[in-house]
Amino acid sequence: MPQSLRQFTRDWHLYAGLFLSPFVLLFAFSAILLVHPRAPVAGTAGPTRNAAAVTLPAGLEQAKGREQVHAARSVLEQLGVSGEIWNIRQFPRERRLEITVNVPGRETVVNLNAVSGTATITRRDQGLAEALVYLHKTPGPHLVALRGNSSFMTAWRWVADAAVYLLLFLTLSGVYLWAVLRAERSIGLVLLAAGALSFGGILYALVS
Amino acid sequence: MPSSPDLTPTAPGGAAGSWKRWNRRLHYFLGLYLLFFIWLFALTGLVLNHSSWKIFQLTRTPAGTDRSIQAPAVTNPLGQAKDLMDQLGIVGEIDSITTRPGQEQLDFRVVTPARLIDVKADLRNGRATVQRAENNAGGTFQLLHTFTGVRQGDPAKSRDWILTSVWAFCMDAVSVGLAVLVFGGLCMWYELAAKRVPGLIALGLGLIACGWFVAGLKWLHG
Repeated sequence: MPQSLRQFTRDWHLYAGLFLSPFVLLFAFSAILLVHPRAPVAGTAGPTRNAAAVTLPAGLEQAKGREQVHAARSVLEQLGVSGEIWNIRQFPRERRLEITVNVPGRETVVNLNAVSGTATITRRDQGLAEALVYLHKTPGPHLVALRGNSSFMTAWRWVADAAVYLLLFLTLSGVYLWAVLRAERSIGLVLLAAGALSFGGILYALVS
Repeated sequence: MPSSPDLTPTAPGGAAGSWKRWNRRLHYFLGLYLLFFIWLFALTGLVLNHSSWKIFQLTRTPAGTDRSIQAPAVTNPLGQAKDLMDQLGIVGEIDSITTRPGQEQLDFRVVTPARLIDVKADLRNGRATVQRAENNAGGTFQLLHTFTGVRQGDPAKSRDWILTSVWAFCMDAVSVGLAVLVFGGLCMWYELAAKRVPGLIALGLGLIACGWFVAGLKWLHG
């Protein structure tokens, strides 16, 4: 039984680890980018498009939160813009709305004039590093009522959660696989204790 | 304990065998050393994506005091803020500084994962109002994930507290350590001839899923 359990754990540690490895590299590399931010990348601005005769759904300007996002989605569909609605800024006096829409590595800003029914669409490609940082930070703790308004962000939330659960499985199964190797136990215990001590020490200093 | 036959890599002697042994040990030992750090960053990442989990919601308990201070000898705002922190016994990362020219007023915010301190110093009259807001345990826990002392899009902001630098170094070390674990794991997998095809399928699925989010979406959304 222990032999088959070990074999089972080893197999699933291997396959789960292989599946997860691109995600681990994504989070690791983007973490370094977040700890050492560079100047904001201007990105490559695409051509600006103008659109006329945009039909605004009733209540778009009055709606708030998720309701406004749903209303804005129909406008974006008319304009051929898709992705996660990041935020909607309103300029009530001018009856203008600025809708920022993201997919990893690209930001599209739609300037909508409710009086004339016209829109200006500006697209900016941001590159791989920005895409990784975007994925690392989303869905995140901010604008919770809005976040996850696109199918990809809903999927990413699931995937990011699954990555954490898989990582926890990998660490626990890894500890088990180490523990059954008697020859490596003493050095491993020393390193585990050293890790716990440095972790506890730094944490204590930070939060005390 | 004997290894099962299909999992036993070919173990040649010499340099190749030595490399494989050391790679395997590095994989174990590095993983063990980083275990608690990995758990922390994984769990805080999970919490940050679930702000509705009430137990981890950030709440702050504020308390204010009025203190006397001596005007700092230095003139630059950062130096003045550090001087006042020494006088007031405040430690932490200076998050922001606001000066009002001509008013001899210096306002600054100091943060740690556990608390947020706002100082409003009247340098002319030698008084400072110190507002401390203690974070709850759940809030402190999640702030450890994002406590870097720097901000995206603000290259002028640098770390000014030694412990922020130490924590940032830990974040870097965990990131590099995870990359080493991944590459070491890939090497160990490749040595297992019997596991190459199913492993390739698992790796391929991971690459497709990850690549879909990193590059595929941009392509899909034209």
